[in-house]
Amino acid sequence: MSDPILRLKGVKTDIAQYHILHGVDLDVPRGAVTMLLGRNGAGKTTTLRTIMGLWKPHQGEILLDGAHINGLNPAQIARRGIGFVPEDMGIFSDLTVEENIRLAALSGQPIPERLDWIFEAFPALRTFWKSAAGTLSGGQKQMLSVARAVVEDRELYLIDEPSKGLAPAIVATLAKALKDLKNRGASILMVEQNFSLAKALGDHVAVMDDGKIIWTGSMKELASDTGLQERLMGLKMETA
Amino acid sequence: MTDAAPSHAPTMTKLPLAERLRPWLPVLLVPVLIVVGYLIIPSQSSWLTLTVSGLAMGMMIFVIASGMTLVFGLMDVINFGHGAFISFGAFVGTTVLLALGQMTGAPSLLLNLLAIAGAVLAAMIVTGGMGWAFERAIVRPVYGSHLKQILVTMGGLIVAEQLIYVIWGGHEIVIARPETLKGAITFAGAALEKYRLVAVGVGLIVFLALRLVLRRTKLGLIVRAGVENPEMVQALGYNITRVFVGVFIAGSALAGLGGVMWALYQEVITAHMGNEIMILVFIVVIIGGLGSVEGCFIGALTVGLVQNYAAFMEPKLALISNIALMVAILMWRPMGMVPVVKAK
Repeated sequence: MSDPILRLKGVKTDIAQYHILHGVDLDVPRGAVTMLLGRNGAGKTTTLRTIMGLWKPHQGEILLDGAHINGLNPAQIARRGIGFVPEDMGIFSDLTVEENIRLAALSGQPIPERLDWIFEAFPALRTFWKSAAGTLSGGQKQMLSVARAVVEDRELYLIDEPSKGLAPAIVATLAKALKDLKNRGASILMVEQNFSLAKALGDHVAVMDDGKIIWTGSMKELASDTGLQERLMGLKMETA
Repeated sequence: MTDAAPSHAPTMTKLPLAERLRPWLPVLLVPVLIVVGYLIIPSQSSWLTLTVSGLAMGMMIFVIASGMTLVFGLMDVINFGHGAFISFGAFVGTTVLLALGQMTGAPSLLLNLLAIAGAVLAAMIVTGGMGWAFERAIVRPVYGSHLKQILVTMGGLIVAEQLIYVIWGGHEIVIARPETLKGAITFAGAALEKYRLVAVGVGLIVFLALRLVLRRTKLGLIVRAGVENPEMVQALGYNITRVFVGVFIAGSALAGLGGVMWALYQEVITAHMGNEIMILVFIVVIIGGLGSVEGCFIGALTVGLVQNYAAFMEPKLALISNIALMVAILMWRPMGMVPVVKAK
């Protein structure tokens, strides 16, 4: 594997009195989609939030493109080139869809070509462009959250459970947009519980349990081995 | 998993009239109140005088309270020390006005306004600087704890008031209005104090400027987003701590401006004047909706009008009118007139 875009070495994170991450070691390859899988409470969201600087690791190193980013605040980390789609979507309900997107464009205004792509992927955002984001449905909010992260090119995208609680039709729309992003050569680290979506998008997999990475490999390898899936994630899988 | 996204193009439906009007009801409150005042006050000239007086008072409270509501909304900080900035603003402004006695005493509107501008500028610089120091030394260590904020900012208020005693002495200071702003003009048979008309104008300018910044600039976008979800604003690449400090300084400077306006309104200043106004400021911030500048504006005008109408109709009623107003509005809209959404 070429130099990874992101490398975590022995990252440990505590939240209040709880030890959540117990030494996470992870390489995220450049220009590919890495799926971070695992049971609820395994530490997947904490890993993304720790990378983003929203929670501080008390031990370990996080390197983006070879440079240390632990110790930086979330704003500095975002400006190093990380786009973040949080689990709760992080939509600003009082702002319009347009304002949400404009806020995410650090260079000022969104690039028209990128905006066209967003509208093509998520037509609902064009329809509700001037509406308050709080009036959108759950699926539309998720679309907005993803659109906000991709409004400008980033080195790496951290996406936390984009399909959570969404209807299959909306998940399909999101999957198509994320696949398109992947085809543009983006590097993505994505947490996902929906294994069908993970299979459709992922190139690489890291499985977490109890705050550690317990397995890494290719998605092809994991998808073809139901025994491995069951052992790693307790999945009694559907047929491929 | 299929690759092709199914078609589920959204459609917009038209909401019923009642639903569309709902967000505008608080905005209608002020004109409705003015009409009610017109109907219950027997004399038209008295009604006009009271209305201008109520609007002027409301505008001054708005100028003072707008910074506080933003500080609360964005930083979740309950700053009981805000009153200190009002008092300091009044004392600094008064000192400048007394020093510029020749300009304030001249029968020239331009010279008078220049003197006031100088006083306002000095007051805003001093209180803005105080706000910066207050945030760094007093507020920053207690972010996230309301109880500690109340205790420590009350302590800061007491220290600031004692500083005023040290610098300006314990006696109250009388300050006359500039020459051309004394007296009243007569309009439709009503005597309208010139200074109150100026106060209405200044309040409107501050409101429009704040609205312009909040609605039309990137900075305003960051502040509005930060009020709702500061963590996500950071994750988008904006240093929210700098925005916090900027808003705290701006809020303190606005309190200083309000202090100068209030000093010229009352024509006498004391070290604890800021503390006394804070009751009205808290009522306005709460009924407006914590963090909402628009709500604060409507709330301030409502408080000003109700207080003036009530005092005219039944002077004893004025003592409880604002508390009664707060109770009524919170029963109608428990989160305030223009509630601000906060991320969970």
